[in-house]
Amino acid sequence: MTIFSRQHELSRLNGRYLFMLVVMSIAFVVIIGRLFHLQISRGEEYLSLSERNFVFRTRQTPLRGMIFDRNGNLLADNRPSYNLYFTPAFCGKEKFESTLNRLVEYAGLSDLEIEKTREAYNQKTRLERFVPTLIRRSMTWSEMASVEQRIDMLDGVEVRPETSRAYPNNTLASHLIGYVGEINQRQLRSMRNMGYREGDVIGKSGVEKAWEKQLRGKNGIVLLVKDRFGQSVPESVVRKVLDEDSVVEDTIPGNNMILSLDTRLQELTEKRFPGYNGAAVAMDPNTGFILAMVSKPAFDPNNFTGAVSGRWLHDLFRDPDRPLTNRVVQQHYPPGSIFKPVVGLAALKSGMLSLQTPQPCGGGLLYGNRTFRCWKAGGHGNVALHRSIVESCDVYYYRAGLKTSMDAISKMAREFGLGAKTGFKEGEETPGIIPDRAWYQRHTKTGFLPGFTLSNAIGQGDVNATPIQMAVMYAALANGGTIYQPQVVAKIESPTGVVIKEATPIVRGRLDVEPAHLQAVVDALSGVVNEPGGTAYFRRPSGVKFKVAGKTGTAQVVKQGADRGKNLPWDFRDHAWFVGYAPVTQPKIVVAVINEHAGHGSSGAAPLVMTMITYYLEQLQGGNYQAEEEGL
Amino acid sequence: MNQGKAGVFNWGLLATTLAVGSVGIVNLYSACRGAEVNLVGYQVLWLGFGVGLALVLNVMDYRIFDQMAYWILVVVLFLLLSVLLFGRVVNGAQRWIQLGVINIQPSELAKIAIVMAVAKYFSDESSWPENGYTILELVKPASFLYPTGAVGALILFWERIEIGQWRFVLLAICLVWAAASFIRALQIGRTTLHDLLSPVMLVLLPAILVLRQPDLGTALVLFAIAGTMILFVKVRRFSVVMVMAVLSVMTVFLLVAASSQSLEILEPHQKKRIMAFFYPESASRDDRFQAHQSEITVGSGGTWGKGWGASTQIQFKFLPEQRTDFVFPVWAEEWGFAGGLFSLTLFWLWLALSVNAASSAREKFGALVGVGCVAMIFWHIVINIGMVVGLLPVVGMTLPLWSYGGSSVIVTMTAVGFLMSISSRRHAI
Repeated sequence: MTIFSRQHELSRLNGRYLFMLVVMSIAFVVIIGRLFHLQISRGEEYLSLSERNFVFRTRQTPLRGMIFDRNGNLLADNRPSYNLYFTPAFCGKEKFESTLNRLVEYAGLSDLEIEKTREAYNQKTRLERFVPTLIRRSMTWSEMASVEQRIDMLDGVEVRPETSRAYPNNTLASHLIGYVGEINQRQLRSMRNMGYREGDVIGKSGVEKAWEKQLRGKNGIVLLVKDRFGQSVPESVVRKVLDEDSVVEDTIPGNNMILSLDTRLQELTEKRFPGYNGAAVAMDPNTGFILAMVSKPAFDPNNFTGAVSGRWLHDLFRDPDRPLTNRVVQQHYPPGSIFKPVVGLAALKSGMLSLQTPQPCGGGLLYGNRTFRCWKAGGHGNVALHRSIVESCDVYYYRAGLKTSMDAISKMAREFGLGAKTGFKEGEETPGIIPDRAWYQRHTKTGFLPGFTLSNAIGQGDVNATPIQMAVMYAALANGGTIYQPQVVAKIESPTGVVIKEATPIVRGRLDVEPAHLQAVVDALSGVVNEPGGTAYFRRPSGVKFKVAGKTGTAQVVKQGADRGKNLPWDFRDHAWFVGYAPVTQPKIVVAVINEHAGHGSSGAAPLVMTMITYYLEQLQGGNYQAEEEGL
Repeated sequence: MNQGKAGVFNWGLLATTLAVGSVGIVNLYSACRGAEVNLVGYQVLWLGFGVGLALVLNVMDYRIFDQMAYWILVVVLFLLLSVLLFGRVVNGAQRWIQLGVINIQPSELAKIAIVMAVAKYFSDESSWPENGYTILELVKPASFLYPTGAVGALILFWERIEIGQWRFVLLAICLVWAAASFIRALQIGRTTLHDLLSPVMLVLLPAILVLRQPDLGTALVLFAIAGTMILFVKVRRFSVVMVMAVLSVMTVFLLVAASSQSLEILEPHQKKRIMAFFYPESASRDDRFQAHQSEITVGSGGTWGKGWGASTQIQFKFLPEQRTDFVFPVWAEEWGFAGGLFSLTLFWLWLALSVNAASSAREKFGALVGVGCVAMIFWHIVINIGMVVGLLPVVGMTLPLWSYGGSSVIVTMTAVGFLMSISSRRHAI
């Protein structure tokens, strides 16, 4: 090859060098364009992003409002709690496993907590990774100490002194006060825009749930300066970075609730409750404020805060005695004889019976081809309204029911607020059942049959009511016919003690009955306790200057033979009811008690009612009531 | 021509190189703020050593490498193999060979070796076709490198080939194939060594070994360098279109390989990075974190920057690898768009002078070595900055003379040395 041809070949390349340079320049122009886009067009945006990188807006949860009873006794408190947090963004990939192992060693993480940590580490993305995840609430002091000692080796781990809910009286009024727990996914979805986040504590039942908004307070936001590994940076750097106050939004503690509950009465009721399962509720008949509310069995709400064991929770929810159910409002029972005043008033109102019209009772009534028995096999002879209530004659009410009609009875029952929620906020109320003809058309194949009226007229059959409905009904009988909405929160105060809201009685309705009829029923209810032959005569309190009015009830659980269920297994036996109030003339307290499977109301429930009323009037009210004459 | 006259010392290229290096040192100083070890001192040492090396190469006649080019490639191939077998694992990849106190990265040497080998191959061609090479001429299926490569690949991947005893059959076939090629090679009278080599295979062999480490970035840059050189000697338009089509198909395949859970062609960290680039929304945490933080770092610099040493992203440790691959964002954050423009102008000037030096070559080997060196520097700059500003996926690529690291500095300065050597002999033939 000659030098010339070689030179010729090389000179051909000159254009290619130029072309190469042009292509390279284009690449540079593209990069400069990108730099322009990032730094000039979007510079501000990225600048704020870079600041958000190291200034963490940290949410501070407020102190939850406290709950007191009417005398200022603390029912729900906050106690210091060392909570373990983990922030995924601050833990490098290679350090994660060793950090987790160390945590297991130092704090004894459970499988569930390990799972939680792993999930947080593997599933959170972007900015979420900078949000600390709560791993363990309420660490023991020794766990806290051993974690704190090695905190340098635990990337992303943090122990924060916070507070957790404490119930100093443990099981006392647990159903009413309720409990708190970590917010669940479903709640989180609907409440995220209200400021709730994962790991937040939320009221799960009772007052805690119903008044969540008041109790919760307001989250605050503070700015913390940290590097990527969650380590604090020197104060000089902090000052350079934060030119404003580090508190962006103040943390405002929740409001305090003052309940109408009287701890002493509550305590006595729980202690003296004569059975395993049942409910008792005491109310002021003139206002509807709850004085005591007991549901048996109870649970300890403290077990829901701190480390909740899944096994314990599982057992609790599966417990056949359903300790989490507030039987006062969530459980309806056949009312039995305590329903009779409704039927009596309905009969009087319909005009089919007058106060004096006697009805014969021979121990049973043959209707159709079935004998409807009276509880007293020998019969009551001729009874009018007064004795029908005092002695709880069933046949009188079979006859009254037939004369009055199903619909008239259910209409009267509804006037008393039965078959509908009473409006009590602090529990998921069940409305009970007050059947009428239409109800039977809907719920039975046969449709309405007149025989149904007989069972319903003595509070059996398909009539169902909750203890609180019974308390409201008897309060109305006691106070001259006013239906109050039961309430338990008497006052709401700010953390500094300023009264925010004072509850006033809420009237839901008034009975549309003639005063004479009402008076006759009231007299009869007094007779139940105070007249010889009354079903609760032997239960009347002695040595007191007030009189109790009330009604026994024995609600059948299953249909029984002539032996009245004496040989039935425990859970087929009758429920014992007693609803009473005192003093008769100027009532101050109404009490409804149901003792499940305790047999007759006079023995299974009445004694507790008498004890509660006596304790309340004599001890708690200091005998401050108008004395009543014997024989009134 | 002025044969015998001493060449011109390329002061411009050396000065620009030193300027790039100096700005790099200034920036590295800032990036190392708060670090335990002062890397700046080492980097200055490496740079000084590199300048010395460049000056030595400048004095030497680069044409002696014409004779050694294939031997260099063979040595590098051996080093790459041994790194796979005995290498030190750093950050999940085997890239280093430890020789006493010195750790060498054969994948860096591979860049130089490929430039040499490809330049040698094409300068041995009697003439370059006027219309350019066809794909077939570049691939040369008759090359004995294929059976050799196949035997090597079989041995290398032996455990991972899951066809049971058929592996032995496959190996036997490859050995027979290799023997046949070898026998053919013995017929020296009819064929030369050159005829038996395939330029594509010259690149493919080291690139596959590098990819195995795994080092996707270097493997890509090996292809990019060789590709640039081959395009420089001209390829037929139809062939270019074909290659483009194949590359597009491969990109799609890469995406499939990266997004598929069952295909194990790519390493998990490679999959994640590629997915993070193409689908940033679906990418999780650390993978996207790096790229995202890099963009934040660059963008937060604004027009004029935060000032030297004022990078908050470093202060708060948000920028990963800020001394090596992600050194440019530090500059962009502290000096803003103005600084970015300045540095890119400087890099461009450096490249322009390099192209100029290459163009002064007076024979084909020199021209091709020059083009290869320019391509190497260019691709490093463009891929590195492209990835830190979010134009390209994060693949692991140093920024020449800016990223901390001896191997990178030495290889870059070797390239500069060759370019200076070429321009020194622009009048010599």
